[in-house]
Amino acid sequence: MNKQELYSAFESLNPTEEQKQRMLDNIMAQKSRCTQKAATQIWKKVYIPACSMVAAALMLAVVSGVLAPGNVTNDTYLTRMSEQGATNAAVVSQYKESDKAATYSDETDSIKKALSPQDEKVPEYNKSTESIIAGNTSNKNEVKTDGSGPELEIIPGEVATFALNINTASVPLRSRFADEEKAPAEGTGEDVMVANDKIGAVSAGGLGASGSSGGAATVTYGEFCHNIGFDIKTRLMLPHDMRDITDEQVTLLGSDSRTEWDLVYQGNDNRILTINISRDIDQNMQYFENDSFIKTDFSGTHGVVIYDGLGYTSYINDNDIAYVVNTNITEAELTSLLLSMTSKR
Amino acid sequence: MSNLYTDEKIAQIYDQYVNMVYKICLMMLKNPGDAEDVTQNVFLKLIKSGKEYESEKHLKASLIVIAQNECKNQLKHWWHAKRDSFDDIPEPSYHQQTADTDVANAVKSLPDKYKIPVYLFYYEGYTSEEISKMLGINHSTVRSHLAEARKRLKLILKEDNDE
Repeated sequence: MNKQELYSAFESLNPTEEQKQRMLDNIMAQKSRCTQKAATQIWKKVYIPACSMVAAALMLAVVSGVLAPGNVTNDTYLTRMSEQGATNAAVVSQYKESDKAATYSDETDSIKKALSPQDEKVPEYNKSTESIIAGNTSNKNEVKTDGSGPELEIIPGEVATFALNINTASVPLRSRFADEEKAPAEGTGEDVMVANDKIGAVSAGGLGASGSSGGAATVTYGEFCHNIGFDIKTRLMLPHDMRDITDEQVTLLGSDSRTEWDLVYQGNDNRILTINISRDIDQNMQYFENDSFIKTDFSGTHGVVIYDGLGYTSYINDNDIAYVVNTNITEAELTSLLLSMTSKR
Repeated sequence: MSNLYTDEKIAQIYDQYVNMVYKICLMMLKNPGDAEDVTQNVFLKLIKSGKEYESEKHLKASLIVIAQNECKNQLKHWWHAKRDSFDDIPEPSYHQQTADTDVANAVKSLPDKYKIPVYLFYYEGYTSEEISKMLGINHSTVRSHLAEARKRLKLILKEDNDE
């Protein structure tokens, strides 16, 4: 094998003209869509803040049971689908065939609908991504974890909804950040609202509403952020990819920046582990006191395995190191920790 | 959306770098469908950043890093983990099969940490020092990755020839 062979090998991986044209068409279409959206920003800045307060009050009312979530919402569909044990494909298929699919051609109208939980609303099905575009939310307690759900795209101005993650008994929420440095929302809560391009947490007894809780993040239409999960058991927001959480029922809290991960785990025995993973080159095993250690495995994308009765595997990149600090902290301290983690970013 | 990136400007940048971005994505994601999706994401990210680069060199380096990061995001996503691999699907999808050479397949089978340095070194002509700065890893690590990648490629291709 010589350099020329390698060069030729890479040449053979070029896209075809058809692929190139298809990708360019999609890029231009998405650009055009975002430009259209941006044109209404001024209007939204006036309308949304007023409506978001109303929406927040309404959602709190729903969560606290004052308003019965009897309308047909995205979550109701998800609940029904999960109760039937439907697969992800079936749920998506159901949406495709639904004759109630709303369209978002009129942004004003869609925002009004999103902010009014009384409206019957079925989200639009995005054919190219096979994802469901977020619609109204309702009482999150109805969200089940014994089924599966579609991935949902959040549109600024819309009340966010959720997809189901059956492996982790949690509900991952995805939205895209324009700026990757922005932290995802953190905090406790039962609803997540996207308003005025912010994600926040509306809580019936947790850290508080958008802006006063663990944080708000800027969302721009069409952007996706890191996964944010909502754990229905602990009612905690989990701003992280929640794959591979084991039966140990670790609650993963924290955030994921592209350069540094701060992860806080609360195990079954309520011990709190704080893990700070930074991108550095160190392929050695790291041992710490307090009965915990980290084994680093840099074979591809898998990374830290944390042993302390938790057995959790976190996906970190090669050349990352991780260290664990094992400590016990109170709920108040945990809250403070979450807030400080957000404000760092 | 930034005014810096007019349609003409986008088309020009796209024409210039789409091959490079797509190749990086294909090497890391291993299937043309995902590679197309992430390639689109990379250019969209650039457009939405509205950022003006000092030079073509900086723009190119940024696209490489964005592509790599977007691929890693894609691989980490729970959706990606829960779906079936295209290799398991008996019928061909709409994705076009690439006419990969043995060497290309060998490169694709390398661990992810070797692929990009190998591509940047042997195809794009970057030095190991430039690669180190671009990807934010130690120079010695780049060199050891290239050396290890060469060893593995030789081994893989030798095995293929012996079969």
